[in-house]
Amino acid sequence: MEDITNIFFMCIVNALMFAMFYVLVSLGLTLVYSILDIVNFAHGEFYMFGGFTAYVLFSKLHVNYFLTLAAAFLVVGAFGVLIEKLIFKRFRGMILQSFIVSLGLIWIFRELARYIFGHWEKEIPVVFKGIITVGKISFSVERLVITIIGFLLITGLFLFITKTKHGRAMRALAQNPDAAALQGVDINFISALAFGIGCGLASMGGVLVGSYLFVSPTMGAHVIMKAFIIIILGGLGSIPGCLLGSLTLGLVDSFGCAFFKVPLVEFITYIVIFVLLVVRPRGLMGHE
Amino acid sequence: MRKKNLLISIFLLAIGIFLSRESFSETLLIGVDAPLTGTAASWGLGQMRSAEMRIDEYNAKGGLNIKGVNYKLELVAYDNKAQAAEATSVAKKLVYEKNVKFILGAAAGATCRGIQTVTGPSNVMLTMCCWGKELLGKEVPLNFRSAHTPFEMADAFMSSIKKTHPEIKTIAIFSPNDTSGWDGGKGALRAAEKLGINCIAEEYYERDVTDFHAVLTRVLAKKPDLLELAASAMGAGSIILKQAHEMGYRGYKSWLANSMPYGVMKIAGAEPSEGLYQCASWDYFSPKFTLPELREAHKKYKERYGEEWDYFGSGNYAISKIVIDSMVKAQSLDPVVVAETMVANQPYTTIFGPVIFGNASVYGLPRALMHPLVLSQIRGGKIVNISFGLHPELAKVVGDWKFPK
Repeated sequence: MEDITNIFFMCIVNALMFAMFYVLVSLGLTLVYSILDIVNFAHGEFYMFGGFTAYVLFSKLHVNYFLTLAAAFLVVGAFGVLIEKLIFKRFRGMILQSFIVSLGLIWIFRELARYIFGHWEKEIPVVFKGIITVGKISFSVERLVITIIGFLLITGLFLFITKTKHGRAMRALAQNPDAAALQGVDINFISALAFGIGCGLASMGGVLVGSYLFVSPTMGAHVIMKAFIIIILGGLGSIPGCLLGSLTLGLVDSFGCAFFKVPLVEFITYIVIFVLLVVRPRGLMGHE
Repeated sequence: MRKKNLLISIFLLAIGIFLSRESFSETLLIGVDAPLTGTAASWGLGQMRSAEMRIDEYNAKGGLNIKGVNYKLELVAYDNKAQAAEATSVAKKLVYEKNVKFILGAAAGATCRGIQTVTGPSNVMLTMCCWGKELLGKEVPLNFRSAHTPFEMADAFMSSIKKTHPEIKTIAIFSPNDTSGWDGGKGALRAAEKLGINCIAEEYYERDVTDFHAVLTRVLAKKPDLLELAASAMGAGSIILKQAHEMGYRGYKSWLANSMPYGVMKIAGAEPSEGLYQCASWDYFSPKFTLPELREAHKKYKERYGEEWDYFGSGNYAISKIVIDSMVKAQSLDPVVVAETMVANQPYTTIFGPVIFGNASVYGLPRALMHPLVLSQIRGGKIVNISFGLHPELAKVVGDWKFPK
């Protein structure tokens, strides 16, 4: 009985931490979709750039970790703005075209990273050392801190979207671009800002997770698949839906693996998502 | 008149260029069909670079002389992106367009299956590090493997660990969910069962998974004595060690196919990787259980490419020499003749020590490279070579061979 209780609580902890790991990337993706109406499959590569920013700044140049986090947001975010202006701007509202273009960007970014950094995984020193044990449940301090930082970033995004002028402009643009333009919203500026923030958030995810796992040119591949599942599950364009989608996926994964083998859990995960989407095609919190 | 002078000049120039070529040499193309980009690039690049280093060595000595003709070796390497369809397409290009007869370097099991659909019927020799029982044998007699697989090393590996730690009664195995992963997992399982070690968990995961907390929650609840990582790649295996450590696991650890222990130490961390046993890599620079030639080769590789050289790449380096020397010995570029020569003239002295092509009892033909197995362990942040052993088949040939002191 005690073992089952421990497993239960460990699953809850795992699900929460799993959700925080992926939500930063997913939020950026859903933000970009909701405002620009494009599907950026290369979003995972900005997450990868964040990881390598941490590798260069924190691991090699010994810059303070939190400064590295901020630098990743600014540098990768600025790069995202550039990519939006040069490439995605002309594909706003064109889902298929933006998807195809982003596929090409994936290969370019990945091979660029491989050319610069090599193909082997790179490590980032452990930032927050130690293990916390509560009863028979153990987890690392690092994982807890990443979860807290992730939560704070999400809160920060929420406040930005709801309380600031630019945030309100983004919501207006997401609801009705024509009406927003009539109200004086600079569509080009807000679109670029949203894209930059989305990429910046993904890069911060890369810094946080990269320091916990490792960084590699292909680290974006796995996370982008999970991110898409999360935003579809939560409802395309919905930020609260993104959170709920992450938690749902985390719970299915966590409890599933507690009782079944991993390949079966993957299968169960997709079945659950399929059923949820059949029952509610717009996602858990998507709009009609 | 002017036109005539121009034609004569061009003709004389052409003669001059032709005559200035080195000793009327022919070119022998050596192919590599390996993942040079993508997630498996770490293995594929090692394969390509080994072939490249070897080819440069032979060319520096004047190439090969086969039946009075001087051959310059030239590497033709194409990227198959670790995809079977692409590997087949590359093999067709090498064999049908470039007329390559020797493909010395391939990695990733699924791609090798694709490659041999081309090389097999065309009588092209293929050397590879891919795992998979069906990649060697009577149906593909020109396939040679350049590295140990679980069939060559699992028994000795598990046996050494059990001898050192007789208290080990249970094992939990983690391995990727593909053919190489199953080979590794099943190999470790077979070896463990022979020793009476009970397998309490056999987990196969998708290669891109990085969060193992959920599955470790279930597995560690069963309290395994030994955590075996089988065919896990460096990144994933390191993460499993790290996350298991965080979740309180302090038992024994082993990793059958770990070929990059320095990378593991960096990613997993010092404490999680402490005490890890491995046999597919060891301290190549230690004077203990290594030959000077191995140390020298690793030094050369690191200087040239700026990276650590993995075990599978160095295996390709060793087998490339055997193949090319056999061409010279047989005075033939016919892969069938070269293959026969390779098997007939063993054992060979290589950077690993003495090697033979063996394990016919498993594959039907002696095509698996077998060399002294070095057991190593991570201790205090360093790789320590603990002992070595010879597969019974190798021991039968080389007798009481030992590393020089």
